[in-house]
Amino acid sequence: MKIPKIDPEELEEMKRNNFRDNLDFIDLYAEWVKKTPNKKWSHEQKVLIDSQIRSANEFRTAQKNRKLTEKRNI
Amino acid sequence: MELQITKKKIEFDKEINELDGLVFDFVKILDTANVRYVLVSGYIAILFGRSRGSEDIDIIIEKIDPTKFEMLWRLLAERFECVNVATPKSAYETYLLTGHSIRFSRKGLFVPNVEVKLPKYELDYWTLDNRKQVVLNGKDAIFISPIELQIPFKLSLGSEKDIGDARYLYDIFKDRLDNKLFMEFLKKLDKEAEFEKLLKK
Repeated sequence: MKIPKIDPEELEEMKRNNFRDNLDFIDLYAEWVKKTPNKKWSHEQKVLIDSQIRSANEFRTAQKNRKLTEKRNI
Repeated sequence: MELQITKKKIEFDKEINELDGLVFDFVKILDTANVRYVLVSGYIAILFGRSRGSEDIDIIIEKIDPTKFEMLWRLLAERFECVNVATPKSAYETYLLTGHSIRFSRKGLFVPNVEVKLPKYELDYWTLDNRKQVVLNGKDAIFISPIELQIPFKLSLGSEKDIGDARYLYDIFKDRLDNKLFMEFLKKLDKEAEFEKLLKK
C-alpha cells in the first residue's frame, strides 16, 4: 500500500479547519437548543448520552468476559 | 430552551439522562451527610444541553474532618463504589488531603463516575462560597459553579473539548451573564484575547 506524502503545514491547516467547523457546529446546535422546547432537546440529549454510557459499559463487560474465557482456556 | 434565571438560582425542566441521574443520586447523599459541594467543569455544559457524553462528573466538596468523611464514605458505599481507592482512610489521607481525587461509580459500573476533590486553590473556595442553585423539574436541586467563572475557566483549560464547552455556555448564556463578574474572571485568568478570538463573534 502506498502511503501519501504528508505535508505538516497541510496537516495544521486541516486541524485548524476541523476545529473551526466544530465551533461553527456548536453555534448552530446552541441556536437550535435555544429555540427548541426543553422537552425535545433534552430527549435528544438523553438518547445520545444514555447510548454512549450503555456502549461504554457493554464494551467493558465484553472485555472482562473475554479475559475470563481466555483464563479458563489456559 | 426555557430557563428562569434569578440572582440566586436557575430553574428549568428537562428529561433526565444517565449523567443527570448519577449527579442527583450522588448529591442527595452529600446533602444527607450535610456536606457542601459544587459541581464544576464539563458537566455544567452538559446540564444545559451540550450534546456530548462524559466519563466523569467533577465535584468539589468542602474540607471535612476524617470522622465526617468516614460517615460520608459509609453512606456512599450503600449505592456507589470507589473505583480507585479501597478504604476511607487511604481515600482521605493518601488522596484527598494530598490534592488527588477519588472516583465513585454506580456499583458494578466503571463509567460514568463522580470525581471528588477537596478545595485546594483560592478559586475552588470562591466557587464553593458562590455556588449557584439549579432546580430541575421543580424538585431536584443541585449546586453548580457560576457560569461567569466556568466560561473563562474552560478557556484556560484550553483543549478543544474545553473550548467547545466555553463556546456552548457563552452561546446559551451571553445575554444573561453578570458581565462585570464575567469580565473580571476573564481578566484574572488572562483569557481576554482568547475570548475575543474564540467566543465573541
